[in-house]
Amino acid sequence: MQIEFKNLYFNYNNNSEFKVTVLKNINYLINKNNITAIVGKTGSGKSTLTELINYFLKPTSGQVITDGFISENSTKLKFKVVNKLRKKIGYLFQFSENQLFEDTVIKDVSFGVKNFYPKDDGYEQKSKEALRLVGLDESFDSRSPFDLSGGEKKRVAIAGVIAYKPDLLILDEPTAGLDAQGKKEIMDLFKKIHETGVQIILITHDMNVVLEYADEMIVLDNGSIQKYGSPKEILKENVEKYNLETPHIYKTINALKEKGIVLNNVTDIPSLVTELKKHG
Amino acid sequence: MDKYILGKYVPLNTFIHRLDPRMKILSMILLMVAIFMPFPSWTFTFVMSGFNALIIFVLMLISKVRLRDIIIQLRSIWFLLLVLMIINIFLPPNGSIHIIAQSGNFKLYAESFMQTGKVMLRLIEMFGVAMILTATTSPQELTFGFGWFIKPLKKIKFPVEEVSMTVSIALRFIPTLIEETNRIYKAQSSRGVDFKHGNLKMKFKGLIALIIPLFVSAFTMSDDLAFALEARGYNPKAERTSYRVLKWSTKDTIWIILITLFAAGIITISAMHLDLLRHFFPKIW
Repeated sequence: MQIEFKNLYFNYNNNSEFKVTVLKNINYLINKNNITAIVGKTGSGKSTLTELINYFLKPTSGQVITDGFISENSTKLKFKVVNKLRKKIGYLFQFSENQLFEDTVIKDVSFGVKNFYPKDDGYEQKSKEALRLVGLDESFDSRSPFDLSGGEKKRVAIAGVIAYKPDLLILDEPTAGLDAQGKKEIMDLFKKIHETGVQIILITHDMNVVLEYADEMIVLDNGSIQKYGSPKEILKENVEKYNLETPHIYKTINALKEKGIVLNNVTDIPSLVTELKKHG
Repeated sequence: MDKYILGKYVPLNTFIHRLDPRMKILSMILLMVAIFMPFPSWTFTFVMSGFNALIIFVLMLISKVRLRDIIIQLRSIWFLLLVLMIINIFLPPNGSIHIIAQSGNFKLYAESFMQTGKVMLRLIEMFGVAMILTATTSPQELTFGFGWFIKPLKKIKFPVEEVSMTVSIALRFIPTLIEETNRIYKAQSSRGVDFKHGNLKMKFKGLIALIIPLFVSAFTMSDDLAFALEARGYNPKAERTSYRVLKWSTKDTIWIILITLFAAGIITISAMHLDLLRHFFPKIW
C-alpha cells in the first residue's frame, strides 16, 4: 500500500491560544511492502503521524494520501469512504488489551469482521483462523477475554485486528510492557504476518527490535524527519542525540573497537561470532 | 474535544484567575440569584436582564471567556428551548394580553415569545457565570473552596475530609478518563464502529464497545490508586494540613463587597415590585 505525506503540517488545538505544532513539513513516501519503523522520543509526533494515515486526524495543511484516498484539511470525510479505507488498515493501539469488551474471545475477534463485512457469514471461520495464527487454541474461543492474562489479551486484540485481513498493519508500541520472551514471540508473530503479504508500520522505542525486524526506518525529532533509510546504516551512527538507544550489538562492537578489535559486516549475533572467529 | 467547554479550566493568568476560589464561588451564587430575580413588567425585565448581561460580559472580557464558547453550549440545548417555546405558545403565561394572531379559538400571544426569550437570556447568563467560574478556577481550587464551605458540617460528624478527598480524586481522573475514552473510541472505530451515523442498533452496539472497556479500566485504575494510597499509609481519619493554603486578600474583600452590593441592588429593586422605568420616565410610557 502506498502512503504519501506531502508538505504535511499538523497542529493540535489549531485556532486557539493553546496551539501545539506537532508535525512540520513532512514529505515522505512509503511505497514498498516493508516493515517500516517510525522512531523518535516521546512527543516527537509518531502516533500523530500514524493517526493521520487512518483518518483519525485531518492535516492542518498539506496532504496524506493513503492508497489513493486523499486526506487534507478541507475535505469533509464521509463515513462510508473512511470505512473503505479503515477496512484495509489494522490499527493496533498501545494498551490494546484494554479494548476488549465482548463476553467471549471469538465474539470479540469477529467484531471487526462483522462491522466491515456485514453480509459475510464466514466471520467465525476468519476469526478462528486469526486466533490460531496468534497462537491461541480452540480452548480460548469461548472463554471471557477478561479472564485472560495480559499477554493473552494482547494476542486476542491482535487477532481482532488481523481477522478482517487488512493490507496494512499499524502497530503502536506493540512490545511495551512485555517481558523479553513475550517481546520476541510477538515480534516473530508480526514477522510471520508480514510474510503473508501484510505491510507493517511499527512505532517503537526499542532499537534492538528495529534493527532485527525493520526494513526501513524513519527518525522523527521535533516534528520533522531527521533521518530515513535502512536501520543497519542509521543505527550504526550516533543516534543518541535523538534520544534513541544504540542497539546492543553495536554497543558491543564499539566496546570491542575501544579494545583494539575492529569488526566490519556485523549485523546480528551469528555474524558477530563469525567475525570474532576470523579475528582469532 | 471542543464540545466539552462548559466546566473546562483555561490555565491563563488573568485578574479573576488570581482571586480566591471561595470568593468566586460565593459571587457566582450571588450573580445567579440576581439573574433569576423577577420584575413587574416585560420591558423592565428585559432591561434588567440586559444590565446583568452587560456586567457578566465585562467579567467575561476580564477573564477571557469567549462568547463563542457559550453559544456552542446553547447549541446542545436548542431542543429544550424549542419545547419550551411550544409549551409557551399553547399555554401562554399569566396575564398575556398582546395578541399577534388569531385563528378560531386559538390566540397567539406575544408574551409566549417574550417568556421564551427571557428564559433563553437567563440561560445564556447562567452559562456565562458558570463558565467564568470554571474557566478561571482549577478543579483543585474549586474542591478546596467547596471543602471550606462544608467545613462547619464537621460539627455534625459529616465526613468533610473524606468527601473532599473523593471529590478531588474524581476531578483528577476526568482528564485521564477522557484520554482513555479517546483511545478506546479510536481503537473501536479502527475496527469499523460508526459512532455518529448509522441506525440506533448500530449506535447502541458502538456505545457498548466504548463503555465496557472504559468501566473495566476505570475499575482497574481505582484499584491501583487504592493500593498506592494504602501502601503509603493513607488514613482517611487522620488530621492533616494541606499543601495549598487558601489566602484571602484585600482585593477579594473589595470584589465580594462590589458583587454583594450589585446583587443586593437587584434584589431590592425586585422586592420593591416597582416598575422603575415607568416611575422615572413616565413620558415615554
